[in-house]
Amino acid sequence: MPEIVQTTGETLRAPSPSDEQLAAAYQRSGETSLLEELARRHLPKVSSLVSQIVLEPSAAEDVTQETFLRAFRRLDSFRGDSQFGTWLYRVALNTAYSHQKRRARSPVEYHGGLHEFDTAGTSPDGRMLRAELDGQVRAALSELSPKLRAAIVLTSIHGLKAAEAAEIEGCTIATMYWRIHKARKLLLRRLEDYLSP
Amino acid sequence: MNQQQPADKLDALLRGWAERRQAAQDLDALEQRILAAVAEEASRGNLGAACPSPAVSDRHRLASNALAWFSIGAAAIVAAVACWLLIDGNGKSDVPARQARKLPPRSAWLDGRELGEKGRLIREMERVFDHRLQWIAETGGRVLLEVQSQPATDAAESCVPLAAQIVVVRRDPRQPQAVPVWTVDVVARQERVIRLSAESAGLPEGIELRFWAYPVDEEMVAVDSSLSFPGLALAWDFSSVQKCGEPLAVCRVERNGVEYEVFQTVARLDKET
Repeated sequence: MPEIVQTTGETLRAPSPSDEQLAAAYQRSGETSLLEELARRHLPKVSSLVSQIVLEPSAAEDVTQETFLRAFRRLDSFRGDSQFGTWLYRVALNTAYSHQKRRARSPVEYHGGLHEFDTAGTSPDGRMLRAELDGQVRAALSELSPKLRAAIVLTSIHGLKAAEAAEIEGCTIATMYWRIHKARKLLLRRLEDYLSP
Repeated sequence: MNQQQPADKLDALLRGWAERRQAAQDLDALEQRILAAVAEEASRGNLGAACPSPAVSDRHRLASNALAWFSIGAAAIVAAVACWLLIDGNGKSDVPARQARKLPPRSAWLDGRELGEKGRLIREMERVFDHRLQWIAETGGRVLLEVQSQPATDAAESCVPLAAQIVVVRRDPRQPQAVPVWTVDVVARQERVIRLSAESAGLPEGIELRFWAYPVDEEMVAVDSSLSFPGLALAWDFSSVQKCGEPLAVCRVERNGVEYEVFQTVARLDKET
């Protein structure tokens, strides 16, 4: 990383290159390490998003990997019209949707696994309740269509604004508002027992 | 005591689920797997192409510009033809007439002064009722309140206060202006379910109103509402988003040459002082 030395004697580290700069640099140089840096930066968010859409942990890892490979294969189609992260989220959702279509004949099932998540540090009863709750949330999300699920995941979990989610999905803001509203309504009804005061 | 509203709890529930799910993932292993796959794809020469040469870029840009100009020209021609088709034989466009017909009447709008008063009203009434107020409705000169047994918590108070107005107007072709024949005003925080009927609120027999709203951002609000108004054969079930502060025509019927139209207006009160 280059360093900028000020005359006062203080040393400042140059800002990291942006995602867009890394993508452009790869397109010029073909240097694979630039793609690896992009993958490292975005892996946590992309894997989280994919996992919340696909809902099956093992399949989610395959879809996450496929997302990065698809994105990097098509990097020349990234024109910089939107932020790299937005474009990558779009690729991730499209990859997840393709996976869901392939799996359409065998919908996601909740098997009620009580040890699905690491719940160390809580009592056995607490673990059981937590696992049941997580299973119900996953089952409720699995009952939403992929588009509704993506709408609620992008806005409620990832904290995106409706306009940002609409840009990722390539739909109008009004359509995104509608999906958010519909998804919330269905989830509120489905998870009513866990939401009442 | 923790009495969050279901909507707040839904977000918390989803985020908690996502965090636990993320914590269970082995990101390091996944990262190694993905980096290995990237390296392998790169070694096969499958990962995109280097940037095209400037000469190619220029040609591409020129072609894009030509296409853009062609598109603009085509759009202008289509727009001109559309305008020409909308102009009638007397040389007058019927667009203004159509728009005028759809314009919401004055009575359907909530002005800034009204919103300010409603904002102060809900805050004052919440204080008077020790934060147990659910909603306030006003119709036919009667004010109705719903008060719950337990006070709301801070989380409930952070829910956005909203004002809604539903107006049924009568448009008689012999009269220049629409006349409001029934109005209900509601003030409540987001996601309160408001039900008004003959039994619960003393409305005229058969009239039943249900209303629920949730602000999806600063400008739009999702609304679920229904109204049954048997005397006028009016009934609607609305479930969609609408722009804050703008009346929306949600139902229209015609009886004996007279048109009845329902307008629904919802506005945020958290900006009002």
